[in-house]
Amino acid sequence: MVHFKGGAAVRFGTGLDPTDMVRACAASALDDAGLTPTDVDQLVVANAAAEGLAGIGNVAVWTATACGLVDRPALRVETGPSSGLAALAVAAALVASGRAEHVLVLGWESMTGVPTAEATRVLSRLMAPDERRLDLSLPALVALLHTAYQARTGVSDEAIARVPVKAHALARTNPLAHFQREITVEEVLASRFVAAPHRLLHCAPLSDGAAGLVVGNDGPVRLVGLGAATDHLGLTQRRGPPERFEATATAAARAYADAGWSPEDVDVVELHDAFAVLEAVNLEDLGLAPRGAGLERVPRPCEALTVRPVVNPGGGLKARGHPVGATGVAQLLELFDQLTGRAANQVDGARRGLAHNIGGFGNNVHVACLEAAQ
Amino acid sequence: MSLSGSRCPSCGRVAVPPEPACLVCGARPGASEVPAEGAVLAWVRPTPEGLVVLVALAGEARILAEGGSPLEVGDPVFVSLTDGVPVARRREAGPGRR
Repeated sequence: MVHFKGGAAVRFGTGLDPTDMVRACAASALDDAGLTPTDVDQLVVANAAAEGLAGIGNVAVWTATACGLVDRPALRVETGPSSGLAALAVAAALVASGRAEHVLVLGWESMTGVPTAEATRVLSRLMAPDERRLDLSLPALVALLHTAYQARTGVSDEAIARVPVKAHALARTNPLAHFQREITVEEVLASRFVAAPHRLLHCAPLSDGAAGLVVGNDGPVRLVGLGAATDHLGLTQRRGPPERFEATATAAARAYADAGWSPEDVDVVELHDAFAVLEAVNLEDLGLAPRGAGLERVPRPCEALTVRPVVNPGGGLKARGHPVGATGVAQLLELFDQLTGRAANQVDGARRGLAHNIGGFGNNVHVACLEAAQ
Repeated sequence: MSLSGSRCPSCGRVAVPPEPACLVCGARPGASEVPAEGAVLAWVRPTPEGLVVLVALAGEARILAEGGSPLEVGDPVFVSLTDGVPVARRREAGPGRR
């Protein structure tokens, strides 16, 4: 059985030095797990775009050097923004097969050292050729999903705006969050268009950040299920409803089957809310809300830690921040903290948590099911 | 009016532009002319002046096109190529045309 032994993250934000944040994160994660660098059998690095965003290549060895793990085996896992959970899948296989006793999974991304337009251009490389030919960006692709979802469900702009309002309210009390101020529905709807109808405050920020977890064969939290699925690279290559991610539904079904769970078993979920409408879409694709009703279960901020399943208690990608390679590991760390009772925004009685991490535009999705060991 | 596409002889998948191999079953598709009429599935304004729409064509093929006129989800459109770029314009829906 694969367990989580401990972990840590740096506060996400802007202007962080890559070496400093990676070194600090690795040291804190190992300390939390009660280990030293010599105990680590393998380093698995989750990073999506260091070459383009930070001018750093040979990312696995660069990270091992920064962490003081120069004689350990190191590899890098890259599946775009789902690199964190994909890295967990690799680490879990190493531990489950007996090839490693302790694996440090370290996700990081440095995104604010280049202008926003350059970061957007680099991230758009994960899109399909016909999408790039029309100069679309990832926010523009999600705006397509946004208009399709609104047309199908009839939900209002105000209902969608309540998602980032809740996220910011939760992040305000998360000391590791990028944003620690509340926003209002009116502010969301008055923010500038990024790709209409998508507005700035619908979108997760570009963040710098690092998060690390130690995976081993004992520890206070168990990994009980994993699922992954891909979909066609391009939106025009798919045939399902454009307001859904079929890969999420498939990955979730595989993870639930692996864990022996049903959606009703989930106490707390860390889902990939890089854009506001995705909270509704993801809840439906994960089977946690009926089709078309994902926004009906977005609670008011004051009830956000009590309505089950609790969604993104640390503020999610929207407000905790979204350093893409670190995001999946940060989701797992939030669940680890929740299931060990030490989270900043603790969910009472949380025993089972689910993490959901999207790579590309809904085409490389990973889901993990975690359970308290005691 | 039609667009150059492909049809898979094995599973029937229709695609615009043509696919070199079927993305579902891997068979080699044959050339096919796909009617240029369809309906808007989604839209976005990537810039204040721009409009891009996702269009469902016949046979479930899909295409991204620039909007040549104001468009909403569900609007019937026809798609033509202007300097190689697909452009969707609203068409009046008549009996049997949607």
